[in-house]
Amino acid sequence: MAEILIKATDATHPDPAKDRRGCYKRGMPVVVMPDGHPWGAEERLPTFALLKVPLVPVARVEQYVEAWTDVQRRRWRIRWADLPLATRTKWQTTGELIIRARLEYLGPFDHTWAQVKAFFRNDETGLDETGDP
Amino acid sequence: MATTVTKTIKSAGGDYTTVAAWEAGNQGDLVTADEVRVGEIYDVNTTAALTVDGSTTDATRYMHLTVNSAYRHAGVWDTGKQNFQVSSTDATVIVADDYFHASYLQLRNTHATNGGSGIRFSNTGGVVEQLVIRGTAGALNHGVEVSNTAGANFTVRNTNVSGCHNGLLFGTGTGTTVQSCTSVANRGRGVSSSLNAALAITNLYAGGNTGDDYNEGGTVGWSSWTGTTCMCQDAITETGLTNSIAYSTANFTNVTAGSEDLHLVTGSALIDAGTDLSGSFTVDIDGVTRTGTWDVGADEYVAGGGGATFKAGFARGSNVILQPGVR
Repeated sequence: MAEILIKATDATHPDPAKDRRGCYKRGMPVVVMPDGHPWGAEERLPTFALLKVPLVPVARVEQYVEAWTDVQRRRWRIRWADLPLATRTKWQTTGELIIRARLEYLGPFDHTWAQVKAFFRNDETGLDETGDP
Repeated sequence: MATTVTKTIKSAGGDYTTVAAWEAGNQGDLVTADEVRVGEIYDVNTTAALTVDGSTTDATRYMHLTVNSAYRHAGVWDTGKQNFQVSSTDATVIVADDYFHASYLQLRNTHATNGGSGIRFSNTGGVVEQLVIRGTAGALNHGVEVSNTAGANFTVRNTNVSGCHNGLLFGTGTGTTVQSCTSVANRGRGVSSSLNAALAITNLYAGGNTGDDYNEGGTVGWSSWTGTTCMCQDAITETGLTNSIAYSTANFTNVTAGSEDLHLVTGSALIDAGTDLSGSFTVDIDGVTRTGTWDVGADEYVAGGGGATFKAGFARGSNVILQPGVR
């Protein structure tokens, strides 16, 4: 039952160390909330986009908002630029993607988890996600 | 003059729903934008550590996190009001941006053994005021921590710290000012620093701490700080310090561990014993305007506090509003 708020723009700082350590970059997850969370007026495009994974417990996706302390703002990021053009276009237009990660979820969706998980990259290990939430 | 841009942080119907999203959404070059970016928290409590980093700021263009007046503490730890309760080996609020301001927050690191500080600065400049910081028994967390890697120009005022390891812990940075704070019942020291000739403390009370109430560079008391109308319970002799002022209900409302209420009581030795700092600020931890001769510590005593004030002589048809006294 999770919705992930993703940074949709790059913040930048002229100090390269601070830029990497402190600035949220496009594709970095910021917070996770339960399905149906009443997001605020600023928690949307152009600054943020939502990744909705209905029926998946928050605890199963919280790893994506872990800090990589003193190195990078987040350990995980979505390889935004590598997403298929149609997916990227839809996300940048509507501000949300719905991912079906549970067979019990019978509502509308844009992709299945199997289709998108490889776009989650752990920058500490350099490996893309292979698991299921 | 910089433009102040205030965004609300509410559980619903505001600009943001978490402090993390507010910080992420407001990162940027605040100097070029010529803005102070304020996050005003309403009914949102926080259970994850907050990092403030990545922005370009200066002394007049900075990030400021505060609490709406309806959701602020009243100088006493109150879980019914906005609060941060975080279980983390890092600080509850981690500040790496210069000149960050924090006001009216309640901070507690609940990690059982190795929790980080309530708020930790590793940058240059910052202001914390009207904070209530509570520690966790057995943990190593400090209250306010300005690390040794930090630069200059920090101000801590009108803040209560209790039950931490060291209450207020400072590094070597110059220009650090501590004004009208109360640091009590900590398991380590009340106020501690590395050798820091530029640390100026005024109207500060420290008492009931297991370690020294004041300690500079590992030695009890101080050798190079500037102290003005400060007080402590320990038998420390320094210029600008009155010692042997008990951390007890003779001076404070409640000194029971975990239930501290550091409002002053009638007859408290802290009343009218401080220095007027109205050139810098005029209120206390509750937001009450300080009047007359200032008191020592974060609270300004108001006679009749806690009772009701009633004024007679109303014209027929007048509305009468009864308000509890402020303390």
